[in-house]
Amino acid sequence: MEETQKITDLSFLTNFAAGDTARMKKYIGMFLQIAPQQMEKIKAALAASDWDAVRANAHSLKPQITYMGINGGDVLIKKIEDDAAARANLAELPGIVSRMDDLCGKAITELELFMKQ
Amino acid sequence: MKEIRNIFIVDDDAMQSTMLADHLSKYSYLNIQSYLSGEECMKNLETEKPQIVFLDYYFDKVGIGAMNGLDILKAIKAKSPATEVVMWSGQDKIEVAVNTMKYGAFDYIVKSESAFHRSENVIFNIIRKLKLEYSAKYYKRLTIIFGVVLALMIIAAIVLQLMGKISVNPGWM
Repeated sequence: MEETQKITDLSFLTNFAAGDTARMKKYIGMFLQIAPQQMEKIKAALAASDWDAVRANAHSLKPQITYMGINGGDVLIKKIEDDAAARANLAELPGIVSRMDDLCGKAITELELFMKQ
Repeated sequence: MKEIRNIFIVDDDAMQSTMLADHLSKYSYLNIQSYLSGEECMKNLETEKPQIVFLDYYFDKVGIGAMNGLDILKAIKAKSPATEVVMWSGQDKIEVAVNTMKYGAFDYIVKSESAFHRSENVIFNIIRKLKLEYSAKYYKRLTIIFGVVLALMIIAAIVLQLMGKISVNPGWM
């Protein structure tokens, strides 16, 4: 049951690191350090209506979301990047950023558990 | 693969450059240097002489006024035309890719799960290109040498004929 609720899928990372857990932990550790900072920067830029900064920080986080296999995260982060770049759907952006933040928070909790294994 | 020795990875995202460097480090003879900015890359370009540069497109983390990927690409090509630049970016817009190719990028890789495998393929393609260029140069040189030798033989034959040492008419006719 717990397995089906997981929102991270580490199959890419497992394959990339050829099953080397230490190597996987190295990348996950980097993600755990970078992702909360990036999310904070996105939220601060959103509050300041600094769309270029929203785009830049979302762009920076995008590949890492993919590598961590965060289910649905890739779609949300791309939408944040694209909408901020195009100054489109700006009214929806706070809601999308909030969903991304929640998703990121859940993923971080899961990944922290992996780090303790 | 051994034709390539020095590789630069220029990316302001430490996780990305670490993952790419780790992926390529299986080729132990490769000397891989990672730089977080274009400015750092340019400082080391002449001393290290990389054959390939994997270059990010956006350098937002470096700060306002930092060189972007296109600026760095142009600067590398101006300073070291033989260095092949492979754009390595999260930017998946086709017009961005086409624009970088216009300024001399060898290829454009969108950062994704398949990007690491593609980076290896691009290195192999660059090696293939280098070999073709070497072969083309070799055959061009060979053609010139053959042409010169043939011209010298014709001149020698004319001179010898004028001196009466050889006849146009072979003996058996």
